[in-house]
Amino acid sequence: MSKLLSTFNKVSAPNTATVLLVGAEGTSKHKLAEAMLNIDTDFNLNMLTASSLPLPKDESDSRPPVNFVVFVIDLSNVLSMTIVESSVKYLDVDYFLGRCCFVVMKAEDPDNQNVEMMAVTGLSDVYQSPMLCGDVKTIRNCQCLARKLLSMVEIAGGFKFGVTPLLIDATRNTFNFEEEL
Amino acid sequence: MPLTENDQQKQQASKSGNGKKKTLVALRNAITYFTDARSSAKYRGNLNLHLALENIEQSSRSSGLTPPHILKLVKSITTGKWTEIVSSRLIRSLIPAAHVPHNAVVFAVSSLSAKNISDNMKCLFVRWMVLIYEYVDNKDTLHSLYGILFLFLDSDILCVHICRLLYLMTQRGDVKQYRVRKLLDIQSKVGVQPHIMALLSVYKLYSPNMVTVSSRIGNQSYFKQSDQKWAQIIHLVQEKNKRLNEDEDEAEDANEPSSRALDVHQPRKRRKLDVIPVLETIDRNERVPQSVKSLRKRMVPLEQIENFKQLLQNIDVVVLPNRIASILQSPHLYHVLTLFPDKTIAPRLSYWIHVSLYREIIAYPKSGENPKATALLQVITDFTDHLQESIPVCEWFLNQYLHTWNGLDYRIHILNLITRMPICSFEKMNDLLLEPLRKLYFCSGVYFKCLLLWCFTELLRNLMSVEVPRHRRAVAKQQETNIAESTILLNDTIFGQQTEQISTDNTIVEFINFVDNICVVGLQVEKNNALLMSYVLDFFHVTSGLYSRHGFKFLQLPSSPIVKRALYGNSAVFVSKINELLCRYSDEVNLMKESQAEYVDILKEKIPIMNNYVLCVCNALWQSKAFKNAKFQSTLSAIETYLPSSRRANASFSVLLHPALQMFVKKQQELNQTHSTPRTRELAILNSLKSHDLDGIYTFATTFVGRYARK
Amino acid sequence: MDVLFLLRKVLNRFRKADFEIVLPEWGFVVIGEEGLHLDFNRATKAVIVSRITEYCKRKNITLDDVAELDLIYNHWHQNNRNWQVYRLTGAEGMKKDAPIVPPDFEFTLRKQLSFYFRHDLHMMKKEDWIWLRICLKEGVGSEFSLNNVVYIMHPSDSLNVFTSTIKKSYKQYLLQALVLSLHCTKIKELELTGRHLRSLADMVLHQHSQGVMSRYRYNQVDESPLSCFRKRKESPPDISDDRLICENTKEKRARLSQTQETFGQNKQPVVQKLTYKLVTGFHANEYVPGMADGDTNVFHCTVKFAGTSVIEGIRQLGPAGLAKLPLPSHLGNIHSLAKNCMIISEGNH
Repeated sequence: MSKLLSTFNKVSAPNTATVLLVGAEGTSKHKLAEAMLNIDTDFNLNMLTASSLPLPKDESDSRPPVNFVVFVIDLSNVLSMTIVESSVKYLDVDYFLGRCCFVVMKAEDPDNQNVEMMAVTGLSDVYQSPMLCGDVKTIRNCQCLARKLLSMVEIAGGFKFGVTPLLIDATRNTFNFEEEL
Repeated sequence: MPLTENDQQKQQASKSGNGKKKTLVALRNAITYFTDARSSAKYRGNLNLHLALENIEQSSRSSGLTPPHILKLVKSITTGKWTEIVSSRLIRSLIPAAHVPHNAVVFAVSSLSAKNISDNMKCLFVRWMVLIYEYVDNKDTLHSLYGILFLFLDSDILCVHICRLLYLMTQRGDVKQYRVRKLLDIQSKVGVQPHIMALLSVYKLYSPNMVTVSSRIGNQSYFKQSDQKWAQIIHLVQEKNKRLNEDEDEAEDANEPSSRALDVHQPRKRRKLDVIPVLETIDRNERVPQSVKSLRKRMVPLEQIENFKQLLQNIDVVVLPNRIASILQSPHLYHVLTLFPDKTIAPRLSYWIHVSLYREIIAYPKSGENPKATALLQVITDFTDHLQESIPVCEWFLNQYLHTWNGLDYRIHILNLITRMPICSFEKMNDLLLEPLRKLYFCSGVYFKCLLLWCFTELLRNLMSVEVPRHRRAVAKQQETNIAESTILLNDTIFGQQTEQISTDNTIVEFINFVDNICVVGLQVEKNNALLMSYVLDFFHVTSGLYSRHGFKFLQLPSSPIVKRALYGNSAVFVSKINELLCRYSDEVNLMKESQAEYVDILKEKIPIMNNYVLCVCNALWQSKAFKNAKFQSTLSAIETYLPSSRRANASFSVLLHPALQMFVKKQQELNQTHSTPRTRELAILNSLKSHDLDGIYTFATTFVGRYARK
Repeated sequence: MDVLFLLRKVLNRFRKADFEIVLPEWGFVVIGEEGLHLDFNRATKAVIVSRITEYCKRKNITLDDVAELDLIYNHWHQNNRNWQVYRLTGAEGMKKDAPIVPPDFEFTLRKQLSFYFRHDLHMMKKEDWIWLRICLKEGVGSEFSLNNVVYIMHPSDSLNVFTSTIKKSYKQYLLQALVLSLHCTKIKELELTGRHLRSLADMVLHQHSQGVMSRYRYNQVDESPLSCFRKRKESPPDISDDRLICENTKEKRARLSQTQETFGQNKQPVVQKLTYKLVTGFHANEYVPGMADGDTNVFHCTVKFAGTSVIEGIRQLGPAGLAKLPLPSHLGNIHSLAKNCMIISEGNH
């Protein structure tokens, strides 16, 4: 029970957002985290990285409450997918209302993929959370990805006046259109 | 023009004196040894044989062999008299000085079915043919053996090399259904082999309608680099001789076959750099006898046409190029495509576009943009513009690519392609196109949002003016012929698309609703960004012409947050634009009212909303009752009592006090102090706004406000 | 095909920077003598090579001199060849404990070889390692080619021999001659090959002091208590920003220490290939039920790891989080096996 990661069991510091990056080793989490920290934001940003959930026990109770969770999947690494699949279960339901997203790396290179893209889209559909594709190989792409994540964090953290993740989600139409791509 | 043996000898002899002459004589003697029927074929201890062999090897490596020598040697080898070692060394030294006589190749091919020659030698012969293929002087003769060579695919030993040779030789006319079937047979026997895939892929390139097997596309090389050393020697000898010839006689060089060999080189080199293949027609390398030529005279290959006028004159006799994609080179050639009745063009072109898009974008190994891909996308957009129809494979590509698009790579080109998407059911459109874009929209900056709205505007325009009419025509035609099918063939297109039975109206309505939604939320997220607002209003500007311009039987109004944000914002442009927009809508409503009673339902639903908007604008701008209908009246009055300066809150959005119009009002007041009554001041401001091209407010006033109404 | 041709071939193999040091070591060429002036900084390699060749031509260079240069080259660029490791056995009762006297050894080997081959033999001793170059002559002019040359390295106080690739037909005789002249009775081919000769020697000669033990060999244990230089504690890996917190630092450290326990802190020997050959029955019957009855048949299977330094790579797997720790013994112990080709068969686990 206590293993479940939850947003509301603690009060976060004012004007501060904490982002948790979850992904297997070798998925360039740190590079992404640093890119996000290097972008100027109107709020204070803290990054946590973890290789899987549940997080190790917080002995000193110093861990800030997590506002946004990013799961990093590297399509060339099967382990990264299984880790994410098992970790998602340790997330409170609140996160799936727009406070969580999946980042897919190496989506553009179909020859080197060991994880089916369909599996990832399935995951993102089941948990109703967006999926972003990107990579951190060049600075340009890395920043592009970091910006996107930050704009989601900004909305999820409530720093955009009058906008909530649910409002954004309300613009979505769902038909479950079935056609293989 | 092949040089005779004597010419060659004379040239060489005169050039470098006695030393050369001696080696030449030695070479001739060596060759005579092999052509002489009396010479002994014993290998061990046969000094003459060894000397002759070494002699030939040396001179062929240094300067190559002349065509007659090659012919003689090939003939000699094909007798099967020599031991394997000798023959293989001989074949390996068949290095052409300039070119290879076609007779020699024919002899070599004939040896493939000879019994007295071992399989290894046959294999070596084919490898030799692969290497010297570029240097054969008359490729037609060799090409006429295509069918015979094809038969040797059955031989397990020769198969790989024969495939490679055929890969080089194949022209469009060679692609036959029975050959494809044969290849598939072989494949089912030995499994998927790269060399057979290579041949199939060439076939598919020439006529994708015959090869239905889906080859795994990608940036792969089908053939292993074998015989590299050998190829290098041949190349070196060629280079060396070419240089010699250039020095010697430039005039003769023009007719020199070696320069033809260079011709073949060039396109290959260019092909690596360009996305679009070079224009080549089958006739290119043919040396057709005069009699046959006159028969075919009426057909004109494309590369002979120099200007547009010639194209117009010959458009009915033009021969299509070998690789159809080369047509994409020039916009003028698009016409050839649209006018040509050949049904295979569309699949050929589709296949090429499919493969290129996949290879250059989806499977492009490096991250970042590929310059080739940019060029390719540009060509495709130009082409679709010309055709005024989308290419189905592009749809397929977009559906796949948008899913993983980061919103950054090839941005403009991708958006351009999106604007040319055809109409489909809204469910499909939403899931394959709009949903990925929506995701990107909300996590990207304001600039991307604007771009996307621009893209949606253009898409809507294209759907309304091109795609829906086309669909309507097709439906009408199908009803005429009374075919009850679930799919509709759009028969006035090149690519002969099929679509399912859909309600186009529904798609358009839902699409506009979707854009409306993301506009509202987008404006909230971006805090009423002026640029975004401008694109939003542009979109609804197009929407407002649905009935009058495009004959749709419905009305789509922007939702009220958009109207109010524009109205109460602090930019005069948007106040004017929203006024203008409402006027356009009211014209639309009036037109609908006039025409017939069939729109009663729609009007019943939309007119109250419309009236509400008009009332809202009137109250705010002209009646000084901006907050009259607001729900927070009590708060308002409370504020007014405690803050006397805010007493005129209701009037704060009137023409004279509207924050967005202050600039014009102040300016006007400075100019004309004399106009004292509010009415004359208002009139003056209206005129001033009109002179600044902000005539939306003026139009609105003359339409809806009683005191300014046009008489 | 003559001496100069071979000389040019050998010279061309060197890098330009090598010449300055190699030429004095070779001793045949004396720079500055007889008009041989070489500006190593400015001249291109081609110029240097042609100058040296001209000079050697004037001094009537012999095949022996070129062979010596070739041997020097192979000592210098020993990692350009594939080496095979052999172990000598049956030295008991022989006078193996006496050190090898190079001239004697050369003499016996020459004699032994001459029973089987026409050959040229050259020997060189470098830091207790004996280097041999054996050129086996077969046919006309074969002494001028490098195709039939075998290089052999023997650490003089050990029972190991390292050879470059030997033609199969020569192998038996060559090894026989070698065994006899080293006063042993048998020679065994170890399943260890690679390009990095030092690493191979390290794995074979110090087989039991690899991994953690290597620190005893490198004398890294007994730090003097009086030493005032304390090793600085390693900072936690690469986190620069204090706003970035890694939740798994403890775990990471654990992985690192676990890896150090098995592999030690020193660089692992460099091996390019690691092969596991399975000569066992098929065991994964639950996945392929159809194979269940074919139990008795041997199911051949080969697993290969290849790369620039495979053992180091395996070590990195742990800290990179790509492998479960502790590693199984056939991977974790790999540095102490003196093998890079394992044959796993039924019965001898």
